[in-house]
Amino acid sequence: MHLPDGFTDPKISAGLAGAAATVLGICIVKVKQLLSKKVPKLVEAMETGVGNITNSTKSFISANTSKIFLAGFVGALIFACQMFNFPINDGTSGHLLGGVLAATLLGPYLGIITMSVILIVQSLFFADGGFLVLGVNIFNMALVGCGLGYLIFFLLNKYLPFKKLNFGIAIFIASWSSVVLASAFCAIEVGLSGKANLQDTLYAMVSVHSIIGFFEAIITLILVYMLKLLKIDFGAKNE
Amino acid sequence: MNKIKYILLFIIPILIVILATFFASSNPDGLEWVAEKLGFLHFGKESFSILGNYSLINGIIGIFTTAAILIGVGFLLNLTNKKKKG
Repeated sequence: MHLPDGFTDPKISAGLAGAAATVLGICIVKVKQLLSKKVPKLVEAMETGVGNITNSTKSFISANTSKIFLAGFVGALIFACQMFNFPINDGTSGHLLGGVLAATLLGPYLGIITMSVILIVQSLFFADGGFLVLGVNIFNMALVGCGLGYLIFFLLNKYLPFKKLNFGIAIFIASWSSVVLASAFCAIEVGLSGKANLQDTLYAMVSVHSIIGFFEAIITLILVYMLKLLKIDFGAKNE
Repeated sequence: MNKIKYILLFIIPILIVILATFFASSNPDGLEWVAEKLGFLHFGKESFSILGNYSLINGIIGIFTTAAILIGVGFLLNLTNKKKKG
């Protein structure tokens, strides 16, 4: 759902670019703190995602560099997956967004930065998503898709009553809703710009993306468990 | 050990790109399809790009550019941290 130039009103594009820049600034500060400080376990679990469990300061230092390399890898992985359009009924297609994937592997702050870098490369190198609406696309797919997606994942993973199954179920529901929510925001922006009827666009976008969301959920689950099987130590071990 | 592992990991996205260039559907994506159906597709403007289309080589360039920017930004943030401490 990369918006091209021209679908949204310049006012909306500018406003959301401002919002995106602000949140990205906060994310950069948070990631900087994360890279420099040893945070208490509870806060760490909340901020860095599930993969990162570090105990000693020593392992924390190497955890920093592994986390950076992991961000590079996850960015490459999501970029590749976004190229893979799978066909859906009625002559349309969808691809992975990867917001929840990035957030569960990297934590929400680094996840949002990773998603934004992917969107910037796509826009500049491939005109996939217009350059003038980059802020809108970052808002929809990084802030909503990754940030809000992580919030849903975090709450479900914590409060669902299924114990060991929580993690998988939370990923499934969060990735589905991240796609649907992002598409809803996308439709509202187009609708408010006066390019199409708001209600029709919202209905059409949400109904198509609730199908795409199922694929998103399944692919995210497969990738997360595949990386777990490969025993990618999310910064837990010393070199 | 770890460094080799991270480099080997990049085989996965490269494989996905190779598969994508052969098997990816060329149907319009969700948003484009809705735009076509509701008749606002013509508002879209072609914007400039450095590489153009998603071919095999371009996809692989895209992968490594994304990874390089992220790793670069990460180390830059780490570096400025250390300077502040010292």
